[in-house]
Amino acid sequence: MTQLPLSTMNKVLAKQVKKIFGVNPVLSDDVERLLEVVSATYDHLDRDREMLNHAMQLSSDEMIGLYQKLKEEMAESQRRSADLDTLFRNINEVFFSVEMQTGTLLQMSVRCEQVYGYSAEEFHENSNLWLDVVLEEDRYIIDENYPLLLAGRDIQHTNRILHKDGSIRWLETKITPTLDDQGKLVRIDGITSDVTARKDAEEKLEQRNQELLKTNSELDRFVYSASHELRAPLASVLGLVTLASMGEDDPEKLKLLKMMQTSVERLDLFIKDIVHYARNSRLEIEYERIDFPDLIAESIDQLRYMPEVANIQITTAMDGEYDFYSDRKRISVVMNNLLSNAIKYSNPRVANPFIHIHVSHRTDAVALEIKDNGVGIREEYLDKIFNMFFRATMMQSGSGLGLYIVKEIIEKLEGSWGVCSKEGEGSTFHFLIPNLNLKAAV
Amino acid sequence: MKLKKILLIDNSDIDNFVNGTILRNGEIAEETHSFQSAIEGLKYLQKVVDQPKEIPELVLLDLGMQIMDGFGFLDEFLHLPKAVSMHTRIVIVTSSIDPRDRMRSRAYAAVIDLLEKPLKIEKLRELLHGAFLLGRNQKAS
Repeated sequence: MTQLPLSTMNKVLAKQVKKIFGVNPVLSDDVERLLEVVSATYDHLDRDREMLNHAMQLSSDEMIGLYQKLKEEMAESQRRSADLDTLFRNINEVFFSVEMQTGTLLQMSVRCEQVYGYSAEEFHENSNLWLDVVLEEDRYIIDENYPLLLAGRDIQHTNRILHKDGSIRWLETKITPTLDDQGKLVRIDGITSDVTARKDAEEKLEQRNQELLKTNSELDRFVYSASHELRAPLASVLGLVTLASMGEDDPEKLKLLKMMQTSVERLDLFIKDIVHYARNSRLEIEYERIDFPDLIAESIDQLRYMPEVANIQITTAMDGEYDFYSDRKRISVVMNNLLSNAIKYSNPRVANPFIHIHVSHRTDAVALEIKDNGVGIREEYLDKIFNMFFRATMMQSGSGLGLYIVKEIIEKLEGSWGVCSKEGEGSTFHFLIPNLNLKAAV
Repeated sequence: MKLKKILLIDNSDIDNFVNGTILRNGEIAEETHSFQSAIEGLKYLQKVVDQPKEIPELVLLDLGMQIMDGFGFLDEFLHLPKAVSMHTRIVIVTSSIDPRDRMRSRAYAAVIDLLEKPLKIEKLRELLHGAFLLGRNQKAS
């Protein structure tokens, strides 16, 4: 017989033993062994239960965690979907995707209600709706592009549709095709936007351009017609003066007639200058290839009848061989004005009056130099001679516009100019006129 | 060199008078006929088609005229019988300084040149000398 080891026994069992057998029970060995086994079993059960509890606890924590995560993800996804919805609703483009084997519309973003006037549902119900709304005369645009899609190329087209509200709208569509492994078109994704406002603006701009062109050409015609009407009676007067002089012997009358002629010629020149000025200030530059020998010969030919010209030796030198493009009419006015000045202001006291014209072609410009040994320009006038209505001399009767027009033209052609002169020795005018070859090609 | 007959077509009778007088006094033409419209000028040319002696060698043609302008005349002139259209030459005399007129006039084979008003007798003489002498040489060769 031994003392029952209550302290080491399972606590629940020990309590039960104490209750039944008292604090210091004396039990038979068999009972003691039984109690030991029962105690071990109790311990076992306790451990199992604890483990089970623990396991239960763990799994429920995990579940809660998972649930939480799921909730978060759902919220995130809803947020994204809402974002996307807002995006689709608010941007001007309609997004769409079509499964091409069956022609099923996979998606059509809600903006279609504004762009087409039809809801996404209506598009889903009628798979041909997108084509039905395209204006009959614009359907060829769609047909033309289809082979490109089949070949897997991105396309873009602009066409008109009949909006549900009855208005006609311009739509611009960009489509990206998807081909499968066999190269078969399986899907398209695209964006369509309403470009009516842009198209309208473009049309207005084009219209405005046409109007401007018309105004310009009308102005051109007006300038020439008006000058024609002004010059015609002057020409008649000059003719009459010539006739009157032919049969006249009285030197006094001949002198008067000559003065009359000079006066009318001056008015005539002035009208011509005004025309050149008006054309230069208002009309666009016209580009063409300029053959300088030809242009210079034409100028000289026009000045052949100036009284001073007979004694003057006019020479032309050219170097460089580049195609030069600029405005021929304008350059011709420049040449005429400079040459007529050089002739008008030749020096009657020198033995060999000359005018040297030198044209030097470079790739990007032409350098033009006109040198004479005429009367020259006083230094104090040099910076004024290009001004409007400036006259440096009393001895001739110009319009005061000649060099001003030259300057205006060179400025218009984006060139530069300069002059060197010495009174009594002569003048040299030089110009650099850009080759507009490149600009013209654009 | 003196031409037998020159036609003057200009709506300004003053210019016709002045130019006619200058041409006759300047020994350029024996005879001048003036018309104040392109249509009258054309009618005259049609009338003399069958009379070689009456066909003018030269027409001085103004551009700015009412009803039919100088270019209208030139277009009709092309359709006249060859006796006229291959024989009669034309010099345009105008107070227009529009370069396009000069350009346009180059398209017509009968047009020798375009001169600015007032008509300068020396310049015309020079032109005719070149044109008619050249014409004769070509015929001869």
